[in-house]
Amino acid sequence: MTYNYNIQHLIIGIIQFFTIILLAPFFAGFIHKLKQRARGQKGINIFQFYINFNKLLKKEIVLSKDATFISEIAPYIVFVSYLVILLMLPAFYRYSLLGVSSDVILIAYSLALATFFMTLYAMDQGSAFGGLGASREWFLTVLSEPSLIFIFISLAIYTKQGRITDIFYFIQKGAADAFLLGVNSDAVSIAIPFLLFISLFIVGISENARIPVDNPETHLELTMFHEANILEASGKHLGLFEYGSYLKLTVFLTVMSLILFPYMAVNIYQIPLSLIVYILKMIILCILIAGVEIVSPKMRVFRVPNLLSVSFMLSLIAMILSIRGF
Amino acid sequence: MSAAFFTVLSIYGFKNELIIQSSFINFSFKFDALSLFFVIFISSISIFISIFSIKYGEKYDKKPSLFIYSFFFVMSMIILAISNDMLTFLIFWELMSIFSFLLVIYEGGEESRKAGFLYFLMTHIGTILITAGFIMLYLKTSSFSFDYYKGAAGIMILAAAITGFSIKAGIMPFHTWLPYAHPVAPANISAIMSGIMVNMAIYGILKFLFVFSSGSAPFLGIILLVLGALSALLGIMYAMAQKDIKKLLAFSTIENMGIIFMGIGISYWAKAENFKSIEYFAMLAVLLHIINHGLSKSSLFMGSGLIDKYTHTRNMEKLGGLSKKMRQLSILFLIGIMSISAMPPLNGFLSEWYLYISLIGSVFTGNLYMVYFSIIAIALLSLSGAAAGAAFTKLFGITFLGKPRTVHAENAIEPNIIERIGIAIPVFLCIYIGIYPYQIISNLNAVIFYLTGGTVNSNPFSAVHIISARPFSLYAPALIAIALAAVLLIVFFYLKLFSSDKKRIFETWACGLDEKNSKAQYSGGGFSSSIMKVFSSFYSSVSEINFEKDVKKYFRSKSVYTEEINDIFEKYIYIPAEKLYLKVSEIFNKAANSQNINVSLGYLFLSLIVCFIIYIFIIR
Repeated sequence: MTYNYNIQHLIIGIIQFFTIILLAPFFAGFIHKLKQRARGQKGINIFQFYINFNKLLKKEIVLSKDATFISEIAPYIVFVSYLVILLMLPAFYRYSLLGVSSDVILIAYSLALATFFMTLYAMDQGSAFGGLGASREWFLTVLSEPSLIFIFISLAIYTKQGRITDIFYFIQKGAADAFLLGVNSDAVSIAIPFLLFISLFIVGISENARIPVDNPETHLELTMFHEANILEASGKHLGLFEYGSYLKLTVFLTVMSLILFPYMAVNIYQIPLSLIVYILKMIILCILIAGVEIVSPKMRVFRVPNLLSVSFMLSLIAMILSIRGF
Repeated sequence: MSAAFFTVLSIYGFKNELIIQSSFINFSFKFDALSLFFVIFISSISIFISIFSIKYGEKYDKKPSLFIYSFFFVMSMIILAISNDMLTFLIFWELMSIFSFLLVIYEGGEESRKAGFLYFLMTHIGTILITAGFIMLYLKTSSFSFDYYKGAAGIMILAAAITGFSIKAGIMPFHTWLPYAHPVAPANISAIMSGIMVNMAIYGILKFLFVFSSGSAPFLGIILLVLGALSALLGIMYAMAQKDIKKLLAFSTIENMGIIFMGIGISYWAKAENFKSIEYFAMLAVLLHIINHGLSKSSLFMGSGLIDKYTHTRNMEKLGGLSKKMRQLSILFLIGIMSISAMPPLNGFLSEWYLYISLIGSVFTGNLYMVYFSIIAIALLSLSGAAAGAAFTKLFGITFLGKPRTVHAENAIEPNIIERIGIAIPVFLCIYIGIYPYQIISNLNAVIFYLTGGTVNSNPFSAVHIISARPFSLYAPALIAIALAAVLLIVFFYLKLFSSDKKRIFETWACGLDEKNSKAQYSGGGFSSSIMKVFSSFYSSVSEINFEKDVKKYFRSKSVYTEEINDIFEKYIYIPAEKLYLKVSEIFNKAANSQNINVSLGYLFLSLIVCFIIYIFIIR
């Protein structure tokens, strides 16, 4: 599909970008609140993570005396690589700011860039916790990267589009044609999005440090994955890492929401509706994730590969299903 | 050394075919797009390495044969790239092998002699196969000149030559020499061998597959794709297990050669099946990856040489904290690592992206076999991409970050400025090609045209069309780099304005304990152990803990942990093959060395008959 940027796309793209960034801590806080209420606790304020971020910005940074330049730059690069992914991702509007170059493999590798710098940060202070966290983080990434790339590539093969904006627009258009106009479109399949959704859900849980793989609330050394990486961070560095993890969660949830129900505004008048639909979808997904976190116990580390290989097999099946001859 | 290499540039003088005639042999040279590409590639990277060696080479001044050998080594590679007949090619191929062998055994000692012998043996098995391929070509065309070989090579010739070249490239079943030979040579030589020499095998393969090949054997492309994918995965998996920095880099060379092989395989397959745009994009991925791998790998090998020079060890478990002592080197090393582990705005990702695109394209073709194998290849490539990130995080994290583990690492100093410049130029080129590749893509189009007869679009904002006329996707590195930089600036200044700038230096938190022992940091072995445990079927590792038996559990004065990681190919193919060879040769030895003259005459007669049979049934 061709890209003709006009001022409207740019403005709505910017609005979309900042809306997602602003909403990200809300989704994370909502999941947290749900989990706490389900456990019978009173629970935090839904907007607690905004308050935390603001507080962290005001605090001083405590740097380790063994820290090098990596500790100074890594929080920024991790945060920025998630921001760049958000620049490419459509959420409730058909175009995104970097939509012209929003290749799916680029998105997968940008996630790896963030992991790369976060693990370097972890190893920078010479703390054994950091090394442990880095080792475990790469352990998960090595196992989940193939399924993530498979999910993205099967979407690309299914829709014959390589850019994530085009992929979801194609699915949306096909679904609309089929259900509203009754046109038999080859873009409609129930099985492929279903398989991809389950697969992406598993990958999302493992990449976003959620129970059964990791617990985002823990600081016990035996169970830390993500937290061990950023244990030494403080002040605005910690704020950037924390915000980055909300953004990462939002990226995964947004892709899931678009696979689940692709509805994006194609012009400015549909924006209010599509924004509401987007937030609703995200809240449903948050409830789903919180539900999974509540009912499942944490897994042993070496049973995680089994879970991720299930996700890999599902995405493989989805890819095989999506191959249709040319 | 460096001055000598600059003379290389004078070779650019002649354009057309040059034939040097002597009484019994003709040397003929010719520039075409492919050889020009390789000549520029070899000479530019060797210039960077020679700038580096101005200072680094000082420690070899007492034994200056290094510089003479390496001059001839590089010269023979350049002449190899421009040679236009079979004898010239083979002579300079052999010279290249011999001089690199001399350089491998340069440092002396048991280890390098062993590695050198293995290298010598393997590379000559390769040369035999290449020679066999050329002899078959000669029998077919009765000419020595490459001009007559166009479209002459059948499947047997291709198979022989490609097997021979893959030994030199270190592709998986034939890779055993590479992780031994590359680390023992001096660092600048390792940089030449890993950055340049292995690519000469790729040159040979490109020449055979795309120039000499007589046409359609699509399964050959699939075989190359599978071999490449296996090498990419296993190479990086073994790299992750290494403690020696240079050995890790050597295994990573195997990985990158695998990636290049995957590209060649797809391109050849697409050529045979007539899928034009996939062919061009895969070829672009191959050529770009040759450049990218050459640049980043040579800079990393030079960096590892500097680590070796200033700390006297290559074992990363004895290093640590070098980033504080060697700040600039660590920045250069970091960029090299980001490039080689395919991190987005840099060049390594660019070539991998083109490879992914051509793999997706070959899934689109709907060809049964290719769909099957490209899905496997996508899985293996993505796995090896993530594993490369892990392996190089380990390399950088253990070596440069944290606290120094031994006194060697503590006493490191910032390397000399000339050494840093030698590394900085390829690293800068990595960034340049990564962010603005359009210039180089439009230059590479000439090579792509020479090999495949088509070109790719080098316009920055036109999307890639892989199979139909519809645009498929676009990765615009310049746009991504600008976006990264812009967002980074915005975030930085936002935080500068709206956040506290106070900073305090304090010690690392260690559960409130006062941890003085710097060996209590996470070790390299520990870093990779969980991944290795999951993929344990790839390694046949043996680990063992020795301790005094009678002492109580918590009061042992000493316990020794040893771990040995074996190559599965070495363990299950090469060592049994060696044993079998020894056994068979013993039997022959007993039979042949009989004292009876009649038996010897009988053997003579027998071999004559065998020669006749070969002549009648095979050659004629």
